[in-house]
Amino acid sequence: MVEYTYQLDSIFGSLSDPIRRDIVDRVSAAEYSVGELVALHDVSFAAISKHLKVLESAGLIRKRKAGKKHMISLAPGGLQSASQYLSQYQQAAVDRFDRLDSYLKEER
Amino acid sequence: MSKTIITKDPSKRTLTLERVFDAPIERVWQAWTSDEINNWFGPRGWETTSKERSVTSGGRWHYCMKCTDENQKEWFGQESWGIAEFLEVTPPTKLSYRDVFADADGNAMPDMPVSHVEMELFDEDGKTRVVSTTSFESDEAFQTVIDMGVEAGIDETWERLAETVENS
Repeated sequence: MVEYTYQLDSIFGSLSDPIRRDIVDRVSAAEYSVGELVALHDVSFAAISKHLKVLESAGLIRKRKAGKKHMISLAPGGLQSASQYLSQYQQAAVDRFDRLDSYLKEER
Repeated sequence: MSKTIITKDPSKRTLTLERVFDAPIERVWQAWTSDEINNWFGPRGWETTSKERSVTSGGRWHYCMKCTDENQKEWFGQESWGIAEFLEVTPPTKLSYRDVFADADGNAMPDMPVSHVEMELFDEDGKTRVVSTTSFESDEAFQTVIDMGVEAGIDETWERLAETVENS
């Protein structure tokens, strides 16, 4: 659990904003251009660009240049740390039961 | 070696652990709700200390886990603080709490996932069955991660892990 605290912080932090959640939702299904994302959200180009920077630094999305357009898609390993968080959570919980079991046996 | 049974419900985002401990129910309850918890709660090589502890409904346990094992390299010396906010404390059968990431001053970390743990203890001829269910608070950010994760095959990861644990 402990190991992923810092990474998770930036993932969950970046997803705390509804526009950023929507962007992630959309690009997980298909690739979008920056222009399309601007049009969909009715905010300025600068605002979308800022949101994309936050998501990019959290490792959730990636940018690709196609001609004059910048295309946005989901970063393949981006959710890995969140996924690993769940796996780790389970592992930690099971390990904890093992240690409780050993502790109770030592005590006797 | 592990005799923990794991069941998961991805749609409800719950994880259930079940295990029989070879000790009387009062003994298991005490290990959870007294200072004895410091002896076994943290991961291997991590030392648990309590800064504040009041195991009552509405009370909380503010704890620190510190890595004291040099072999864990960059983690050696690192601290991880957490808070268990107790919702229901009914000795010796039921304990439920919110599990929250925190800092040393006892403030919750705003962007970190929060889970609810509900633990029930059952006396079985002098042994104790513990059923512990964790559900993740349906924070929108967390839900996004889970929904995407389900698509990205987290379920499989969970399955593989469960197999590993159950076979070990």
